[in-house]
Amino acid sequence: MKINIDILSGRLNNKITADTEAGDFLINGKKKQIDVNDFTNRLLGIILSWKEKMIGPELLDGESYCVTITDGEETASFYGKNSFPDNYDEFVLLIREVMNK
Amino acid sequence: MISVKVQGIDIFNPLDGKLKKITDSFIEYYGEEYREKISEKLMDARVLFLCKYNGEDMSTRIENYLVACKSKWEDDIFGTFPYYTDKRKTHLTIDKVLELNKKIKSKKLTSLDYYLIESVYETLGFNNLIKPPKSMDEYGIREWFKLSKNKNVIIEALNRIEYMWNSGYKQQEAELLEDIKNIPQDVLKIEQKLRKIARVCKNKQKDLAFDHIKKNASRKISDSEAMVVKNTLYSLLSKGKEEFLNERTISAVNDQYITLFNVLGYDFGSDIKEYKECEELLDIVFNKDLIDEFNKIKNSLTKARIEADGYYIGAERVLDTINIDGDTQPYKDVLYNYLYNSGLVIALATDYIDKLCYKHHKLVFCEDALACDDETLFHELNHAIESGLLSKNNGEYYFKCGFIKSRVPLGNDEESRNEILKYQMLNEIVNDYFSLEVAKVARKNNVKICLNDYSAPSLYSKAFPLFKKFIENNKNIIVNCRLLDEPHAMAKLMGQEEFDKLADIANQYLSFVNSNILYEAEAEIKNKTGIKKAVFNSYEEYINKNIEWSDKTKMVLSYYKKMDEISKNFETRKLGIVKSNGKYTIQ
Repeated sequence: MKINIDILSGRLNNKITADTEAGDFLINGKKKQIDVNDFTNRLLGIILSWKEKMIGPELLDGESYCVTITDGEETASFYGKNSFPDNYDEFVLLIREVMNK
Repeated sequence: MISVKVQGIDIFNPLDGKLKKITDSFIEYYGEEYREKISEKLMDARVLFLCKYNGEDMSTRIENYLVACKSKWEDDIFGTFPYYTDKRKTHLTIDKVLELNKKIKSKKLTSLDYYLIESVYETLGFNNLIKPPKSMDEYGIREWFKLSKNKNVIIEALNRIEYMWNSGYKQQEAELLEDIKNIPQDVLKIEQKLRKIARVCKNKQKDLAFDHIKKNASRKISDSEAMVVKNTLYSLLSKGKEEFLNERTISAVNDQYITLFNVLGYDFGSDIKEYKECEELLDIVFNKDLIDEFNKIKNSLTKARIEADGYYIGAERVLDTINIDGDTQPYKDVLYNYLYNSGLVIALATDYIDKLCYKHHKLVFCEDALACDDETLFHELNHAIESGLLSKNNGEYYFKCGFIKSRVPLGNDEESRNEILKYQMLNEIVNDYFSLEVAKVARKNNVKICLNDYSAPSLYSKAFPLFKKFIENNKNIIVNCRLLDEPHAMAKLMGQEEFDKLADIANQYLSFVNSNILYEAEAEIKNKTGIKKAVFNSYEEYINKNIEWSDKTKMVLSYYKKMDEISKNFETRKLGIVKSNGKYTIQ
């Protein structure tokens, strides 16, 4: 399974890529030692309730996210701009956790 | 107001006592002629440092900060040894090294971590010693230390590390641990309330979902199934029926849905389509009464959260007391969205007019100093100095921010939205470029405001290689135009058409970042030229090299040609530009 996460928050841009088969986990192009399977399972639990697209008002310094999960030929993708799923705080916590490692 | 001190800094008021030094850094970069303007704008800016509580307690946040500090301190200490690299850091922490030294000193060589000894041996540059044997049991360790050459050199190094730790960092660690103990009671109470509200609400929603499943289940639900089906129905209710029917997803997700549907007595195999077409099943899952109750619990959470969130209440009080001219509700909406709907956004800025003195103020909502970094703060403060009031028409204010003219709150009308969409990227690239330069000046002058040292690379900085030459060659004019109360001054000097081309280039180039094209082009250039750093700083070199580029890389490089054309055209126009009365005009 391959995961691509792109988050633009205000002026900051964070890109996360994970590959469960290769065990690779990259944040902004840098390799990190993260348990990819654990990360993937937690992410799948979070995105289960997400809508594919959520668009809010146009804001200066707002936030947009794009999460793409590819498993063989299947793809699930989620995009949001200034509008977020109810459990987005759990997603933010997960991202902060891996970024702080 | 809530106050939490970390390393002597109030994380909710880190600007306290530092405004003069910050102002001086801006003036040092922009020039003395802007002293008055910069001083006034920064003095008038209202920056509210807030905590976006997301389940992480203040104590955990300070502990995480301590971990980050320790990692830096370890680099400082271990970095004084010749073979230390990031790669070799894995097993080496200051705590482990101090513990090792303690054991050696007390001659308790049992239960030593082999990898730690190996790391000490390799990273601290003892390659001239006899390598510790792989089978490092208690006997082996004793034998190894018996070799006096090993022992003395290692003990000397470990003592040196301990001395550095004790003289420079131990105290700081102790102070941070003390800061955790001193977190005020009102903060702990807010966290306790918010944690409880979030937990109770989510549990209530999940319990509701599970009761519904039990009522409609065709068989007994095993313990292992219970958690899956409860979460799945909770997710489906959050997502909604229409979204579920139209979504494209992966088998791992569909399997969870199917587990729930099977428990409810519907088994059509592994094809999710069959389930989506079963109206009877959909009526059970998306039961109207269930959805109403589910949403009722969610709405009560929003209300309870606002009432319990001291950070929100405190900021709302500030908004009520700063004499905003007009309705304060739009500002409260921005505050609400910032605290609860802005994810990882660290700071955002808007404008208001003080009704008592009819003066423009920048209003910045910003995460507290544990989460915010100086670069982000300077970015927002730079927006403050390049903003101003333009006019008041039919009771509505018009503001400028750099190259953009808009109404307050930003972007709520068609005209403002169009202006933002067209010029926002260019405006932000230039703002970020200048603010990062000012941040460098501040750092050089030992001005430090926030505690977070890690700043993710800004999106806008990805366009610096493309814009740097143009910005540097025309810095005086650009600065003058941005600081004047005239948003379209630069467009007038360049010519509207050329200015629009510049804005288009900014929009298109940054879209390459989102679509990964820029990363791919960078990788290709690095790969084919062997150049490791600053790939786009001397693009001519790459264009002229006899290398076959992919279409994507050719496209990225073509933007450097476009920028060159714009720069040349402006050089010609500049011949007719003069400065009089502190303002650039075309003759």
